[in-house]
Amino acid sequence: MSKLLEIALGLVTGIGGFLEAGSLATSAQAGAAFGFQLTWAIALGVICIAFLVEMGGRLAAVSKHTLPDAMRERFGVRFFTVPLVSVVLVSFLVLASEIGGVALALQLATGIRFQWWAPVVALAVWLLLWLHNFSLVEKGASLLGLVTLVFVVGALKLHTPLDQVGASLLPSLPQQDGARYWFMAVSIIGASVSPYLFYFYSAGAVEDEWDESYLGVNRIISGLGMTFGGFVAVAVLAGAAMVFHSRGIQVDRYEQVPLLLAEPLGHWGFILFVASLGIACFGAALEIALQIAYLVAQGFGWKWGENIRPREAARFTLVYTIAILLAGVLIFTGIDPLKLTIFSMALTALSLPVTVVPLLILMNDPVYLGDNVNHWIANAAVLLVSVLACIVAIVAIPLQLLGS
Amino acid sequence: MGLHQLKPEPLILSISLLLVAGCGGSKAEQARELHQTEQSWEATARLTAELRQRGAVPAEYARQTLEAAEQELQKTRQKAARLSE
Repeated sequence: MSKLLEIALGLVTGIGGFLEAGSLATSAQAGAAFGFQLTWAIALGVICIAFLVEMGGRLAAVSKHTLPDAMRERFGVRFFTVPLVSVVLVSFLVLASEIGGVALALQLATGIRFQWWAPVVALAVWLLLWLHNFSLVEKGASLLGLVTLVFVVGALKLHTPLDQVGASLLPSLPQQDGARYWFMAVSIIGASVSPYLFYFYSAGAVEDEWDESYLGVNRIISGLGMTFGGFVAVAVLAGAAMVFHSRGIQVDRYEQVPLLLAEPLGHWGFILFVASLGIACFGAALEIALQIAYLVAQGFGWKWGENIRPREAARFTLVYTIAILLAGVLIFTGIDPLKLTIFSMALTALSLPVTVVPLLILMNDPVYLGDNVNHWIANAAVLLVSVLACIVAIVAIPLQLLGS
Repeated sequence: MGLHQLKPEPLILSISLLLVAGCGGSKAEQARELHQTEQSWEATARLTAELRQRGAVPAEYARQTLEAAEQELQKTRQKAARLSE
C-alpha cells in the first residue's frame, strides 16, 4: 500500500476512531457543567495520546515487537503481570461502557431498554471479530466513524464563540464544585489516553509489517490523526456548553445527550447523534475486545492475530470471546452506562503510570530502539500528564464517590 | 532525560488543598447541589418538550426523557425534603 494512502487511512482512523463512549460522555458532561472551561483537559489528553501512539508505532516499526511482547521480554513475566492486569481490568470496564453505548443508541432508536440490546450487541461484536480480518475491523469502523464529524457541524451551527474555546486551552481554576471539576478533568484525560488506543495501534503496526521506512508515516498519523480526533471531542464539549450549560442543564443520564445535536440540527441531528453514538461505540468495542486478546496473547507468547483463522489462534480467540461475554452480561444487569463510562475513564487515569512508565523505560532502551529512542520532551510530556492525572484521580475519585 | 528537573510537588499540593477545600460536604452545599439538579431536570424537560414541538425528536424519545426527568425530579425533591428535616 502506498504511504500516502496509509497516511490518509491513518488520519481517517484518528478522526473516525477518536470519539467513543468515554470521550463523548466526558466531553458532554464537562461542557454542560463547566462550559468551555475544561477544553484544556482535552488538549492535554490529546498531546499525551499523540506521543504514546507515536511511541507504540515506532517501537513496532523499529523493533518489530508489540508493546506487551517487548514489556514481557524486557521486564520478565512477573513484572509484566502488573501492567497486564491493570490494562485488562480497565479495558474490560471500557469495553462494557462501549457495549452500553451501542445498546443505548439502539434504545434511543427503538424505545426498547438498553439492557435487552446488550446481548445482541455483544453477539454482533463477537461475530464480526470471528468472521472478518483486522483491516476490515479497523478501517471499516473508522470510516463509518467519520459520522461523528456531525458534532463539529453542530457546534458551528450553534455559533460557538471560538475565541472563548481557544482561551480555555489554558487551564483555569473552578469557581465552585472543585471536586467535580477535577474529577471531570481526570475523566477527560482518562478518556483521551485510553491504553487500548496505543496498544491497539502498536499491534496494528506489527500486523501491517511496518519497518523503519514507516517512521515518518507514523509521526504524521499519530500527530495529525489524534489532533483532528481531539477537535471532534472539543466540538462535543462546545456543543454541550452552548446547549446545556447556557440552560443550567447537567448531563446526569445518556438520554439527555441527543438534545445536544437535536437543538441545532433538528430531526437529522437526533438521527445523526444516534448513528454517531452507535457507530463510534461499536468501533471502539471491536478494537478494545481485540486489544484485550492481543495483550493477553502477546504477553503470554501465544499465537495471535486477527488475520489468522480463529481455530489457529484458539487461546487468542477465547480471550476476546470471554471479555465480550462478561462485558455484555455487565450491561445486561442494568448498570447505568453513563456512570460506568465516567468511572472507567477516571480509573484509566488512575492506572496511567502503571501502563506508561514501563513503556517509557522501553522507549529509552537502545536495545529495542537503536538510535530511535525517545526525545526528552516526549518523556517529560507523557510522564508529567500521566503522574499528575493519577495524583488528581487519587484525590478526586473518593471525593466524587463521597459526594454522590 | 532531564526528568529530575521537574518538581511537581507544589502543584500537587495546591491541587490537593483545592480539592479538599472545594468538596464542601455541608448541608448548605448539599442543598445547593440538589437545587441545581432540580433546575437541571426542569430545564431538560422544557427543552425536550420544545424540541418535540419542533419535530426535532421522536415522540417515543420525548416520552422516555420526560419520564426520566419526572423520576429524577421526584428523587431530588425527596432528598431535599429529607435534608431539611
